[in-house]
Amino acid sequence: MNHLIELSKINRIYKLGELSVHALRDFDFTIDEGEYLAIMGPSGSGKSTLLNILGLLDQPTSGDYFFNGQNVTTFTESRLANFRNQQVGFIFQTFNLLPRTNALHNVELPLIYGRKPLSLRKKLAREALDAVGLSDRLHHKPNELSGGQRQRVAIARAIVNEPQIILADEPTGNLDSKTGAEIMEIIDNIHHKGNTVVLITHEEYIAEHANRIVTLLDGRIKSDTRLK
Amino acid sequence: MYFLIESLRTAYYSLSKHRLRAILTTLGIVIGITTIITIVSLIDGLKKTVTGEFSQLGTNVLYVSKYPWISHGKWYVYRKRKAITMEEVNAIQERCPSAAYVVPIVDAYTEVKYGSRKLEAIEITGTNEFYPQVNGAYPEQGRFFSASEVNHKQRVCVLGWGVYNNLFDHGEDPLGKWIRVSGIKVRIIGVLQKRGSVFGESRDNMVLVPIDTFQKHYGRRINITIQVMPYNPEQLEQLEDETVIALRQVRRLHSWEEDDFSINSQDVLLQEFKRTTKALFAAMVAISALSLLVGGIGIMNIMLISVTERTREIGIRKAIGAKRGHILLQFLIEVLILCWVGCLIGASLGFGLAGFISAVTPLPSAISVKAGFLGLIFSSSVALFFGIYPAGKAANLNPIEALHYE
Repeated sequence: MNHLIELSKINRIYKLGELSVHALRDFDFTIDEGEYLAIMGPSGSGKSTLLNILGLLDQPTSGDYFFNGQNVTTFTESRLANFRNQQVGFIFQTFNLLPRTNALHNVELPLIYGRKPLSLRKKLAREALDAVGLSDRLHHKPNELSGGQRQRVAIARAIVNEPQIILADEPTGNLDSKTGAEIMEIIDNIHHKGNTVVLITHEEYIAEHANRIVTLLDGRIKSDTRLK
Repeated sequence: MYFLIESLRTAYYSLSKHRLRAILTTLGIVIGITTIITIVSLIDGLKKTVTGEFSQLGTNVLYVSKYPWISHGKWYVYRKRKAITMEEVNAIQERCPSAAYVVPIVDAYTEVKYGSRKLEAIEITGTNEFYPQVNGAYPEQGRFFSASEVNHKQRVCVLGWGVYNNLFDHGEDPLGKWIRVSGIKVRIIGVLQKRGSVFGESRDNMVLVPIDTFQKHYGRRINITIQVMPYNPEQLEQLEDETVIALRQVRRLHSWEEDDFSINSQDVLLQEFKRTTKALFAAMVAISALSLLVGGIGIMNIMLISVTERTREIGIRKAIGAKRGHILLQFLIEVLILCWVGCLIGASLGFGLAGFISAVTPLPSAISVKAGFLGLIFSSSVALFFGIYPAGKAANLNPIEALHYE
């Protein structure tokens, strides 16, 4: 069967002066469409590197990455940017919203780079904010919103282009447990609607939302468990 | 180009957030543009005025005289030349088929009396009946003197507008009245229309008399300037050649001898003026360009700081799909806006300053579109030149490093 994502012999080596860090070693990995995947592991185990490579923010030192059968390691910078824009939705621990820019405009940003016309942009951005329950906060700037609300804006931004895969890097890491639970509910919903979700977390109870848990250690898969 | 509007929007936010910084950054550009615009306005104004005055000399007239208008300091050579006399006037009249009008002009300054009124230092000009056609000076009252009055040394005169106004009461009929010009009585037959001044010298404070009448009194040796006008402007060069030949013949110059007379035209003056102002202009623009250069370095400095400050923003934009070109354009637009605002302020200050200078000094000024464009092009080039490096630096940031920048 065809996988949505297939990583084959991926290595990622960072050079820090004399030192070289082997973040991923001969990494073979697949993700199927519709999966809800949690990645766990101690700091330095390669979680973030894996997520960055999956989201095409980073390129592997060697190895192949197939997305929907296409080898994306051969993509040009411009095609990579398009790919990030169309196929990937990022959710970060620190939200990474543009300051001094209201919620609506933050959500519109991927649509601007995706060259959607203005009227469609406004409509899609409103719908996305509505989906995360923020239709009454359209014109608030990030510093006028609570942490949970900021993360919701970030989620709306991630889903507004209807990407194939959502990549979340400790989305609840900066939130209290109650707000974190609300955010996880939204992410669960995105998965229920058929999206593939990859989530990095340190917390067991967050990982249990997923239906597959992968644990990394020293750039390799330590365990790969399917739940339910 | 949706990201073009997006870039404008971000540029606006980022500049309005650091308003003082933006103003200080653009100050160099403001000063540079102010200088350029002020100087170009003043030079253009001067050019326009001078060109206008030159054209009053007649664009279509050759001036034959002993001295060249532009002598480059060789007065001792020209002083030895023979004076130009009626002999040369007649030679040109007879031997130049392209000459429509040949007008001798000879000047003296003297006093003019009418009854108890007396005017000092009035220009007495001896000339012939074609003076009005060549100089565009026609009588407002009465008439100009005729060929026969010139030939028969009649004691008639035509007054300049200023002389008439100073000698007679308003509305008083001057025609047929007698005035004394350095003691000689002449009868007024006409008054010229108002002519204004050229190079600050009034052309209304004159009395015109037939040249023979003039010479009868002042003598025949006084140096004459001859105005020669062709039938149509295209013949001006041909006329010049004919005049040179006619004069060389009448003065019996051998082929190895140089001309001992000069043929001037307003074109010569205009060329000389343009040559001088061009050098002045270039020097001034170079100075202004220097201040723009300093402004440009200021802009580059601030843009580099801005790129560093906004590293994270660049990372975010790249993560959600901004291409290198988008980031490059965003920063270039920011730099251009900064620069255009500076240009706008500079242009307003420059035009204002030029206007002020021409209001409090005799210097004329002209608001020229050329100056505005020059400023815009200059400052935009400066902005692009100094903005491309910081913008390129922003565009080439690694997205992950940018996202994790603290």
